[in-house]
Amino acid sequence: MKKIIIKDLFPHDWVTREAGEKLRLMIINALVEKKKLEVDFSGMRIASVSFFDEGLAKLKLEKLPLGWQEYLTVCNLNEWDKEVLQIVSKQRGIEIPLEKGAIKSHPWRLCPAGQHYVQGHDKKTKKGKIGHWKSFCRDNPSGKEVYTTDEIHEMASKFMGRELIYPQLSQNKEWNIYDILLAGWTQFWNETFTPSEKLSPNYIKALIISETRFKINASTENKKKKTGNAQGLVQLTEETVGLLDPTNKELSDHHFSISQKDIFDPNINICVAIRWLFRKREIAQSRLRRIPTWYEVLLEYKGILKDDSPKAIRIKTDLIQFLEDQGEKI
Amino acid sequence: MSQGKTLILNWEKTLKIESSGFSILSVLTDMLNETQTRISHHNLSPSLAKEFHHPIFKSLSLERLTSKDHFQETPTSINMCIDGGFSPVFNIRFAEKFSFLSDKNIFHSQLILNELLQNATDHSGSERYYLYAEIKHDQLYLGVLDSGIGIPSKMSQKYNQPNDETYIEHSFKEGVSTRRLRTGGYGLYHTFGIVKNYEGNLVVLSHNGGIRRYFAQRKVVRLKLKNTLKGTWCFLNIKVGES
Repeated sequence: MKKIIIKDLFPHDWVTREAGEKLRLMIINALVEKKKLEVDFSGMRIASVSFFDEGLAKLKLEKLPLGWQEYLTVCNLNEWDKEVLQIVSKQRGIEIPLEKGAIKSHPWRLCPAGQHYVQGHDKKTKKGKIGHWKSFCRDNPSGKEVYTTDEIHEMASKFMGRELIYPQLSQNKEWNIYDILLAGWTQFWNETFTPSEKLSPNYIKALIISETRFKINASTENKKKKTGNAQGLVQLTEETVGLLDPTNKELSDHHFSISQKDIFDPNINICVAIRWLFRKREIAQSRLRRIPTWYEVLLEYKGILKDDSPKAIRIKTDLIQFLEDQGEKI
Repeated sequence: MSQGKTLILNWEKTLKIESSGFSILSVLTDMLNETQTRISHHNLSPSLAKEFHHPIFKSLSLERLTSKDHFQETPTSINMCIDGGFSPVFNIRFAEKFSFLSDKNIFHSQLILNELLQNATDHSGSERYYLYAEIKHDQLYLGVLDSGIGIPSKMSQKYNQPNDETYIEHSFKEGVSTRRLRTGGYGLYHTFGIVKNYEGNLVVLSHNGGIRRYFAQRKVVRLKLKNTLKGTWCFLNIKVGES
């Protein structure tokens, strides 16, 4: 199979009609020879109608061998570029073969983007026999990365064999029980979102100490009806769990399909809370008009980033103390 | 603006210069340098004089702005001059600087800038392009300016329209393209579709005419310019996520 990797072949110009024409000629040469061809857009954000029109949609105007669609696959397009390509292709009256679920996800994930994990299970057949269904990946209607409870557990079960950066041990031994989860999930989300300053698991540990002192069944009734109760180790609210659902538009990607009761599971709670913390980082950046520190992100998580009331100052002082106990300097 | 002349800029009613203003002043300076016209500033208020510390503004009274791929930035804006042809560097910096916007907002803004710049480099025949992006509250302001031949002159090679305003308006339509090779006409059409979805506004000025489109109000205003504009200036704003 021949492969055109856009990132390598178009390092300086992936936008103009000239670049698009160059791509189209390369595709035509491969298709005329009836060679299988993969056009790989991984790591690229094209954002150009001109490039897609010239490079792919205009294949409609070329004399290509019958059944050429069988030889061509376009893969690893981000969702916005995919939308642009589909619009221009439709305008030219051509369908470009797009590979499903081929976006490269984090290597620890069990399913590619566009699919979610379904754990193997026993099920009664129509004839009354017990059959076993193997674990598999199922297509998501949204086409985005969606994490299920089963996949989160499967991924965490492999943390033990990995090289991880652990949080500092606390004097209270009960606070160290979940260190492996803190280390594993912090690393996973750092590698997924690649922030300029990596999040340290010490920050999550300090956050949990300040929220619940590591009480897994902690549930706090919220006065705001809209927010719902805050639950589990990191006190995720019922509203937050709703915002993480793939049907909600709060997140552009990396959603969770989990139930409210799953939130009390420390593994799920930590995994979801760190992902939510990365969303809070975006919100804090928007409010501060600069990249926030992780301490400021924690304040945003707690809803006191710009709050200087006596209560907020007390919470901030406590949080700084917990962070310093974890060896972090603010 | 013939040789040895001086252009007087009267700042009497000006309170502040936005990033679009810096781009206009930059393209203007470029034209004046070509014709060796000097600039004299009148009625500059002390508060506005502070703006002279802005690198672009300094260049107005000093020498031509030629630094290729060089950004001039404030906490909320980027201005840039691109010299010689298409370059993706502005868009890359845009994504870094405004990373607090949603992925969708960044993608659509980049698409708008890409199409406007691609159009300018394809058709204007200009050597320099001035780009800006600025965020104020929940509005993102974007623009691309050039000092090329202008939309009406280019369009008249292939289409017949009664005046410059209708030439500009015609260029927005689906499938309208002046290229013999690489025919297109979808880029700008889609760009304006995006501006429409974001309930934005658009102003395009070229040669003797201009178009103002208020997409939220579905209103179009055709403009006749008092003086001929050498080139094409596109300004637009879109409503982005939370402020």
